[in-house]
Amino acid sequence: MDFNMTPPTTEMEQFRQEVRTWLEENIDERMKEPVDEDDFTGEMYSYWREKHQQLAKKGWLNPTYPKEYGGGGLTGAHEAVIVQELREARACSNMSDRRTPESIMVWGSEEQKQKFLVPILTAKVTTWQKLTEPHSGSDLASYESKAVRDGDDWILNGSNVFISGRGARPDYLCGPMQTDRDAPRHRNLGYFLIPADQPGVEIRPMNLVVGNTHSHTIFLTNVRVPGNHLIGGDHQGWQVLSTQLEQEHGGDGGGGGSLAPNRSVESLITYARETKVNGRSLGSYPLAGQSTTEAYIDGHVDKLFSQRAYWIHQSGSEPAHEGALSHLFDKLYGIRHEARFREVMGPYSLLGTTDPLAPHGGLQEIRMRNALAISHRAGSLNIAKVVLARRMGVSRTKERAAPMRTKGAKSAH
Amino acid sequence: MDVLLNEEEEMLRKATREFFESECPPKLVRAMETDDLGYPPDLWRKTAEMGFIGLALPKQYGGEGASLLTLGLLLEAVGRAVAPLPLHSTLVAALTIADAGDRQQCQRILPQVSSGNLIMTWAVTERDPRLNPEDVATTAKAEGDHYVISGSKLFVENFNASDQCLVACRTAPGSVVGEGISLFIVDTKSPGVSHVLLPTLGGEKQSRVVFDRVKVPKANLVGGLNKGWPIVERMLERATALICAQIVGASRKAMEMAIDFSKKRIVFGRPLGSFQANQHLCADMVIWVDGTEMLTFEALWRLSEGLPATKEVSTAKAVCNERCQMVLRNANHIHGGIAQIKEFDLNLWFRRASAWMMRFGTTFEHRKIIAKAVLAA
Repeated sequence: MDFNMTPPTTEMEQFRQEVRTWLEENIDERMKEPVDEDDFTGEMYSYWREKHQQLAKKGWLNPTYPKEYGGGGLTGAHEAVIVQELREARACSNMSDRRTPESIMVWGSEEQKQKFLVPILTAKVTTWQKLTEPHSGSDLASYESKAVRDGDDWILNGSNVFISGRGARPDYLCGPMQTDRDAPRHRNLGYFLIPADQPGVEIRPMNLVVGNTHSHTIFLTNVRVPGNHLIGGDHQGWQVLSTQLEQEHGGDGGGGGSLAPNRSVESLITYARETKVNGRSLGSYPLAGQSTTEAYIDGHVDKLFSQRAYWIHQSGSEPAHEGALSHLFDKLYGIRHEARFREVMGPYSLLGTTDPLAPHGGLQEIRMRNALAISHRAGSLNIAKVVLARRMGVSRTKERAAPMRTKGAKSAH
Repeated sequence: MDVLLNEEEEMLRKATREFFESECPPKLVRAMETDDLGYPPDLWRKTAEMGFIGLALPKQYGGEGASLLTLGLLLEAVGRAVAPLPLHSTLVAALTIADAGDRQQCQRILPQVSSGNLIMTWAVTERDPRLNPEDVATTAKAEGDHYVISGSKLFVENFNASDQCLVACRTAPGSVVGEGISLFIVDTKSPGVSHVLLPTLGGEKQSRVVFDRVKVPKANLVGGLNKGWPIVERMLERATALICAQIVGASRKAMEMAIDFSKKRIVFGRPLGSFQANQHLCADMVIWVDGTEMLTFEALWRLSEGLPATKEVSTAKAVCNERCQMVLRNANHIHGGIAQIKEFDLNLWFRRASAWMMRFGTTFEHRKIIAKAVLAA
């Protein structure tokens, strides 16, 4: 066992310095990730599209993917350093979703990897993950959007909601479609990369409490997609999807995202430490101090769970329940965490970004809005508990993890 | 970053689990609750023969020289079997002698411990159960080539079975917190030592110990005169992390029993485990057991690496106290009425682990330490 996040070696320190220096020299202060999603501009989008290509050239955009597919060919420890430094520099994250490449790596043919994966990983093109339909949230397998064969092509019709992504539209919308209405559940789907810039694809922003630039409604009307855009077999969509659900449900430890310091816990600690009440720090009052301490404990446990799942993914071990557990804890802790912000900061916790009195630039007001999604995003909390219990074999034979790019990739076909 | 067990650690986990599973069935645990000695000497001897008692003691004194992290795996297995052995108390005292004792003390005591011929314990707590130096009132006064100890100690574990006891005494009035405390090795058979067993929920052996003008040779002073408290602090830190490993081991076993029960118990014509409300209870148990296990091993890893670990040890203990208690509650809840029956095994785990949670500080005490560390400017 080794709880170091990165090996305490000179080589790692030099690498960290290299990343830091590059970011300092190459990132424009005005283009950094805004506190509020609504402040993300078109100018920023164009700027970061180019920066991501530069980062990909250095191998830092998708550090642990193989070089031959446009990744960095680096270790998990390198990724931890990169993630931490990008976070510290407030770099905008990749415009493509993190899940699609995982599925292509496992299920795509060599030709598809060259055609799709290389441009995606090198940031030449962008993808959005297209999952939720209006009639079904957590019950993803009840997919109704349809794909019908037409010669070598497929004709697609259907609709989606809550499709996340930045910019007006991506190059590809990636997700399942129902290919066989008579086949049983989990055997009736195909997984498609749908070129988004064509007639019949309509993308509209959704107006959400959390902000209106990030989430979209999608309508597909008689959209034609070539046959080689189907990843895996035409009845294997659920299995292809399971690979990315495994990842979405914590199977890759959040891709190293939580290896970086937890900004929100840190901001609460800073607030409790620096706010003065009757000449004493707020944190020295037992109840406020304890709320802050609980936030620290939860944040720390969350990090350990992510670190474990991340390591299992990176080392190519087969995950059991670790990802599902990490995913669930993230939700539970997130909900408790919002309450602590309210307890410690009072009405200041709800002050928006434009007010100079808002602590930490209004970070927590945005988190409060975001918190509306915590309990159901990527599968509801109650279902996440059932998923975890199944992985422990509570009601039946232990459920095994779906194949991921570091494990079982060969046996996927 | 590899927070998983390596091959060697996996092997030790397997070996220790199997050893206690085969050698220490619940029947034996139950029998020891009413036994005068409180532990089976035969099992103690076998544990020594396996090299487990000396696992983390220095090689030059007959031990295996393993790390505290490795020792944590052993204690996890002890907790898993709720093995009624005086192992934790013996190791806490022996590791302290290895840490702060002189050569002669190490030579005299540690090889005997490793071979299973010497059982030890430690005594710090008096009336105030919080482990603060200012509450140490038992005195040791120099008289010729001896110290004379007078006072009484509470919640002393396995005192009835111990040969030697580490006793924290006041040797000078402390103007600064932590000053004026000294640590002595006391032979439990010395004239003037008496004890009474405490009736506790756990069914383990704890005593109130009285020292009535007990003469202790000057050679039994551990570390410097009046400089004992930092040694005690290190002792308590190690002991806390190690008791967490026992608590986690017991809690994981209780969880496994509950999951097993969920699959077998048929209610309303279906296995209990097929009900989602039951699955939710199980999911919560997994989170708590895995979480406390990771916190515990992180703390032990830091101690093994010589890194500051006060915050991590307290985090592990605070969360163990709260969450492992919840694991045991959920396990009981899932079993329903049957878990109340004294002959049913689960209550052994519930009672023992509850006792361990009340050793080395409550949640509040440890949260206070974490708050201090986290909120320090």
